[in-house]
Parts: sequence; C-alpha cells; structure tokens
Amino acid sequence: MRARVVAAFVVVAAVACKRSPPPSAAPANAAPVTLSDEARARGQQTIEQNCQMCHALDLVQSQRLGRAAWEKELKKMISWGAPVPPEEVAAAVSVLADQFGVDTPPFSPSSMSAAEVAASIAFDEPPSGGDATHGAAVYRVACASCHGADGGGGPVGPALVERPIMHRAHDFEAIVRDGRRRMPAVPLDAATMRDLFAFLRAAHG
Amino acid sequence: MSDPSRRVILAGLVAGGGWLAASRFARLRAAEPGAMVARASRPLDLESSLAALDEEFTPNDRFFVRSHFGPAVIDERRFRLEIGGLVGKTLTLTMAELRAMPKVTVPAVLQCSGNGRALYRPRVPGAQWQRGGVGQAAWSGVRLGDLLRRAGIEPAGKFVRLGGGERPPMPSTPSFVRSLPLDKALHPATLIAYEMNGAPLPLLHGAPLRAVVPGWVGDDWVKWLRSIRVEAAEDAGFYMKSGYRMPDPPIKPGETAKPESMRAMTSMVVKALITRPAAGARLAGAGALIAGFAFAGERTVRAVEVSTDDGRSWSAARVAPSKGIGSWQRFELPWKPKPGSYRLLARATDDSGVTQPERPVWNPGGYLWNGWDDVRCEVTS
Repeated sequence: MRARVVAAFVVVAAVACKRSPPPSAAPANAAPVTLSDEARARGQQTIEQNCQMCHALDLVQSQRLGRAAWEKELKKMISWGAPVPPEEVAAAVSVLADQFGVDTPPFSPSSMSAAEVAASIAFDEPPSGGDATHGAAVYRVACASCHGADGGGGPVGPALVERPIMHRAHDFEAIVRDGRRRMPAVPLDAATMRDLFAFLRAAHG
Repeated sequence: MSDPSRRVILAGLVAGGGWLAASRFARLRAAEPGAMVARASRPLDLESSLAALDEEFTPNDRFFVRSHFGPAVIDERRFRLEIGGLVGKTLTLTMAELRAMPKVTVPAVLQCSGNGRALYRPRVPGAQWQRGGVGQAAWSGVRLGDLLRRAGIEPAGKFVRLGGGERPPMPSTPSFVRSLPLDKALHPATLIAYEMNGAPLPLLHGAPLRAVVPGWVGDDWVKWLRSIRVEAAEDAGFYMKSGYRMPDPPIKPGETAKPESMRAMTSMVVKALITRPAAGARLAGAGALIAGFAFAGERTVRAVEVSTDDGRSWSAARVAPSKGIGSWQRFELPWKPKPGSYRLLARATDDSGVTQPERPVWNPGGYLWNGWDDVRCEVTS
C-alpha cells in the first residue's frame, strides 16, 4: 500500500505544475472590439479551463449578451466557485462580449435523439469491492488538493462525491488516466482505481 | 464516445480550428424526427420538439429536461425520504413505505419558467429556451398533504422546504432548494411522484422522487427529492431569495430592481401552443387542422383564438374541457387554406378573462414568456 501512496505523491507534484498560465503584460482592459491575438487566446483559455468544469460550452455559446451582462454573469459564476483568477477576468469578458455579443448571428444548437440522451446518462457502474481506506489515502495525496478534502469540490476541481461522474466509471477512469484541461493524467493501476471508487462511493447518501 | 456533448465540442474543434468556431456552424448533424434540442449538453437542458408535444401526454423520452447540476446519484434500496422540521414526528420513509400509501395520479403540465426566454428582447442570460420547454405527463405518487399530515404539522409551520439531491459542483455553488407555502403544499393535486406516464420516474426526471406542483412553474417541481421540512419561513437560499424571481412592478432593461420588489414565481400564466402544423411545415392544400394545447396555471382556459392572417382577424377554436388543475386543454380549428405563405397565431384566455398578450412585459430573468404563439407554414396547391 505504501508504494502506491508514494506514487500518488509524484502525481501531486504534477498537479501543482499545471495551474493556469501567469498573466501576461498585456493590459487587462483591452478594448472589446480590437482584441489582440494574445488577449483573445488568453481569454479563450480562461473560459475553456474554468467554465467546462461545471457545464458544457454550448450554454455559453448560445447566449447573446452585452459586455456588462457578460461581466455580471462571469462574476456570478466566480462567486459560485469558478476558479478564474482576478487578473484573467477582463480578458475573458472581452472574449465573451466579442464572440457572443448581442449582434452575433444565432447559435445552432446540437440535437440529441432519445437514444443518445439515454446513452449519455446510462449507468456504467465501477467494479464493486475495493479498499476504501486505501482509496482515502490515495485521494488525500492525489486528488484532495484540487477536489477538496472530502470530495465536495474546490478550490480548482469540481465535486466528485454524489456527482453524475460517479456512475460513469469508464469516463471517470479515462479522465484520471489521460487528464483533461487543467487536470493532469494520474496514472493509477486498476486496483488503486477500484480503491478510489470505493472511497468516493462510500460517501454517497 | 457515448457523451454527445463531447462529440459536439470535438466536432467544433476539428472543423473550425477552435472552440469558438462551433457557434458558427450550421447544425452539426441533421436532426432526427422528434430529436431533442440541447440548450445545454452538460448538464442536460433539453428542449422537446413540437412534434413530441402534439399528444395529450408527452412521451417520457422526449419530455424536456432541465438540470441545475446533473442527476443525483441515489441508491433506491438505501434511499430514505426525510420529513421533518416543524412536525410532531419526524418520518424517514423507504420507497416501499411510500408506495404502500394511497396512490394518486394527476395530469399536469410541467413548464420551465424560462420557457420562451430566447424570445425576449433585449436578450437575457440563461438557457435559451424557445417553445419546447414544456410538456404534460400523468404523474403518480403520494399526496404531499398525506405525508405532512402523517408527520403532523405544528402551528408555526408556514412553508414546506423541498430539498433536491443534485450535488452542486463546487462548495460555493448554492444547492437547489425550494419552499412552497403551506396551502399549496396541502393542495390535493400536489404530489410527491414516483411514476411518470405509468412508468417509473426516469432518472432525468428526478428518480426516485420528485415534487409535482400542478399549475405552478417547474422551478417548484424539485427533482431527486431527498428531504421535506416544515418551516416558519421561506428558505433563504439562492433559488428562493435571488433566483426565479420577477420584479413587481416591472423594470426596464438596464434598471436594477429593488430586492423587496422581487416576487417568487408561483403560478404559470395563460398560454397557447400550436403543435399542428409544425413550424416551417409545407401543407398540401385541402383541409388542414390548426391545433395545440393551452393552459393557464391554476386556472382553466376559457377560449383560444387563432389568426391565419397575421393577426388581422381571429377565429375561436374548439377547446376541450379541463381535466384538472394544471392540465392542458386541446384546441382545434379546421382550416381550408388557399396556397400561400401563412403566419398562424394563437392566443388563449383564462376563466378570469385574462388573454395572453402579443408580447409579455420584459423581465430580467426572461421568465413566464406567454406572447401569442407564432408559427409560419406554406400551403401548396
């Protein structure tokens, strides 16, 4: 068990290295219409990394709002836990107002058949069994710094306990294995993954 | 690739060279008949096609879906519904114990309070629902009043707090909780439901239990219901005190409403929905039928008028009688059009004489849209 926990420490070091990029020297209040390529790229990255933790981007792309409304929305989301660093807010608002402003052509939403809807929420149960005590130890070193001490989310990772992802074992394993956006790949062997599931599932009501 | 949201996002990345490009595409895939429109692909906000709404009871798998944070993960075998607060005796009930209580079935319209939000100008933030954030089902379960009387309501109890099981994604994201005034909670049609159209409540509709509050906006129909508490006051959380409120009196775009003028939404407003012909339909002359459903919150619909000439003249449609509080009523008008392009309009009037307006007064949340329903179609010879 000890070897596996130690391996997880290595992972934590990797997590710590993959935070948001530092703010550049570009002015924070770039004019909304004439965004520099750099400001645009930075704003897009901020949106991509922070909004998709909780919802898909089509919810953003389908809005048509003025700059003040976008700023209000982003600040609301930050108050709800979106970990957008203060120095990145202005560039993100500029990108939103520029790309999804009131005069932007209409958004074309995707469609989903009943079968696709069902497949998207079908339970994909993780293997049963597993050592929840070891899973808790792995969680503490590999996950807690981003996903919170009890799996309830924060400061830069969403909640895991009682979340829909807990019933999507293959999706969960793929994200852990390959990483996604801010999250680095966390190479856990199958037994450790089962232990982690056992810990996270034990907390369900 | 079982996650359609990922597929859509990936398609945008590949084809457009960047995530923002997705918005510039025409539809990525042709819509299958009856497919749902994804107003948000994670968590799911799915709008019904109008084709699915042309039946009295909307099929479960084509019924619109509204999510705040995504389905709760509830193990029905371990699940207990808690009924507590200002009650004589706190109850914790298993699903088997709930099913052993008298079972009641009500037909009732569920509508997102933001249905039609995309039609307001200026635009407001939120899921951009157009016409299909609505549907009717036959809901079965136990009366909330039966549960509350079984627990015993103390005299100080004035509100019933419904605690949903959707786990917020971040610690500072507010939980989804709503409060019903006691009289609405005790209404005989207000249920805690475990069946939808005769089938076990689907996961996306709140399995194993949801609130059913006929006549009132969907906001109160809490899904994945875990706890019921009798309290002296309305819940103080975001979804009662800030979200799902409208200013009374109305404000103009750009103005800020005084907090004390914001009212929690309760009853839906009178509204007609044309489900036949479909928007953009090409009809082959001869006899046609203009039909749909109308509903009026806690009231009944007295009349539905239809215009086929851009609102210059109106004809009374035949309206079926109400089947109970919060249900919708079929309206039908036979129509013998000449070839041409038509704009069909429908407006309903409730039993107090209130008629739906051409456009409702704007509100900052984009709630309770009930402008004349508006469908364009072509008639060929």
